Amino acid sequence: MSGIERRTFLKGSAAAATAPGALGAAREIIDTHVYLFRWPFRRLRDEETPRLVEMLRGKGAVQAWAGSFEGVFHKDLAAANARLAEECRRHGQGLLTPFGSVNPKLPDWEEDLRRCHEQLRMPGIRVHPGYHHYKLDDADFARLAEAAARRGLILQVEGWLEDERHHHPLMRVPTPDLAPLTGALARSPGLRVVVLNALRTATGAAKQLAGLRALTEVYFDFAMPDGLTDLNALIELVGRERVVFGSYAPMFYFESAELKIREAGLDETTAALIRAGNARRLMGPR
Amino acid sequence: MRIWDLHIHPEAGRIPGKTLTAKVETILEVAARVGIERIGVFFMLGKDEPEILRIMERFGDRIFGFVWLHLWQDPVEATIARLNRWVADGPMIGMKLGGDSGIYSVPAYDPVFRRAVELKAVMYLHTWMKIGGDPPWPGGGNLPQESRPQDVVAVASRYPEASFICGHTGGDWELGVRAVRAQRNVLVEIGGGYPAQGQVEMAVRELGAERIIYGSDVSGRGFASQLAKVHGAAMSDREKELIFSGNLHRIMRPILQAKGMVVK
Repeated sequence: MSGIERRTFLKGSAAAATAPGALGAAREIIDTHVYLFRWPFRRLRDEETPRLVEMLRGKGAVQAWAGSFEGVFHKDLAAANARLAEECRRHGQGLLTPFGSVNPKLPDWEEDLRRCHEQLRMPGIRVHPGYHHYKLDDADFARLAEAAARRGLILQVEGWLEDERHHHPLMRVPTPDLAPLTGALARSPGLRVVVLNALRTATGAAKQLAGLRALTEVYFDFAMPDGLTDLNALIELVGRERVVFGSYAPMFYFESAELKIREAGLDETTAALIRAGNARRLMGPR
Repeated sequence: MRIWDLHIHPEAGRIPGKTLTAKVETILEVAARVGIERIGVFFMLGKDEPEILRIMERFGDRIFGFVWLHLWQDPVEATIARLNRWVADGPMIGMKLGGDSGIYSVPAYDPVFRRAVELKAVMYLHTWMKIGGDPPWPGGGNLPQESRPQDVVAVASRYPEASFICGHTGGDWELGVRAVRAQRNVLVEIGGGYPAQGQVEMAVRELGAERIIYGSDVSGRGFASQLAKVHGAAMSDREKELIFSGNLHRIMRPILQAKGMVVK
């Protein structure tokens, strides 16, 4: 945060403090980072899709990009992705957009990718290098990125799902190093990428961000960066056009992302870009 | 709804501001932006002590001061002397022990807690249960001098008339809640972890809303993620009020009265 001057940080409006729902309801949000189905280690209040959709609608979300916890833990990803698409269709009320999971270390992952695109009509996929146990300089990941680029799909890279200090003792999942992502994506010009939950703090990841921001179509959510000034720092490091709203609901309380925008004291133009404008541009006409 | 934030670290380099005073001003301004009325500030002693006194004087209507103590690095007598200087004779109302402050249950440290209880000081005790070790177990990844909730329980059981705050709900809150559940004079503070859905609901279910206190752990965390744990929780407004300020006010009252401080 050394780059942010106090005067800059404090210039945002000291809007009258109200409960977070009051600020969310009237403003449009595209949430690029939600999950459906069950997290295996804990029941979540909003894990049932209709309830999640009701919550998101109540917060002003007009679109939510949904991954699947089944896609993190299952090996039959074709079935998991089909269930995700069906769940979004059946309960999404036009709000949920499915992002299927593809694991480039599984045999014939190309068919999973093809089905996500051609059969299930998904606009993108979500990968989980930590839980699928590969590094971002893995050649198979680079091939997946190239294949996604050829198909015009959005690639969401999920960096982290749970505090490493709290992992189940028999399932301790390393957090992947983000640094090789720049090199992997360099071979896929034009690929639209959203980096999710990859930055514990924006300031701590400045070097990694420096490489990624040179790529024109890389975006970042801010569910995870959690310091007092991290959203400001992220915007300063990557630019306000590269930050998208991500709540990581239902694992995280939606109100966290919502309140971060107020905490950061952003001007209305920047806030609107982050809430929905950037994600809308990223998704493009469908 | 009145919100007091128990847990603020003002010294961090990433908080905008060139001086400690400027950093506190920044924190107070952002706190107001998200609806926080007062903050508990954990002050590290050292070169800034004159400035700390000035800050307490200037912002006394919005700050509750806590002196950060260490159990294993300093002789017990010196630790008690700091407690006397900053709480008994100074502007602060409590003490904080951190993640490298010592194992609270070690009997040699008991005189520090005894003195804090005599002073009616508010006691914030950092805890965590990090997975680690071989084979891994909760707490096996802790720092050598980092306490677990069980250490808070051990101390609290010696002083049933006093209240103890188990910082971070033990970090791994699903375990921390269980660890302190039976020790009724232990409250949990919810700050310092990711805004995982269910943390506060579980604490209310198992401990009751009267044993939960909101704190953020700024600047390691922001206000937003930590406020969300209460704003987003499925519970009554009455329970949220207790967590946001009512419980802290209740356990502060004895020392506020003892020091003649009035907080409306």
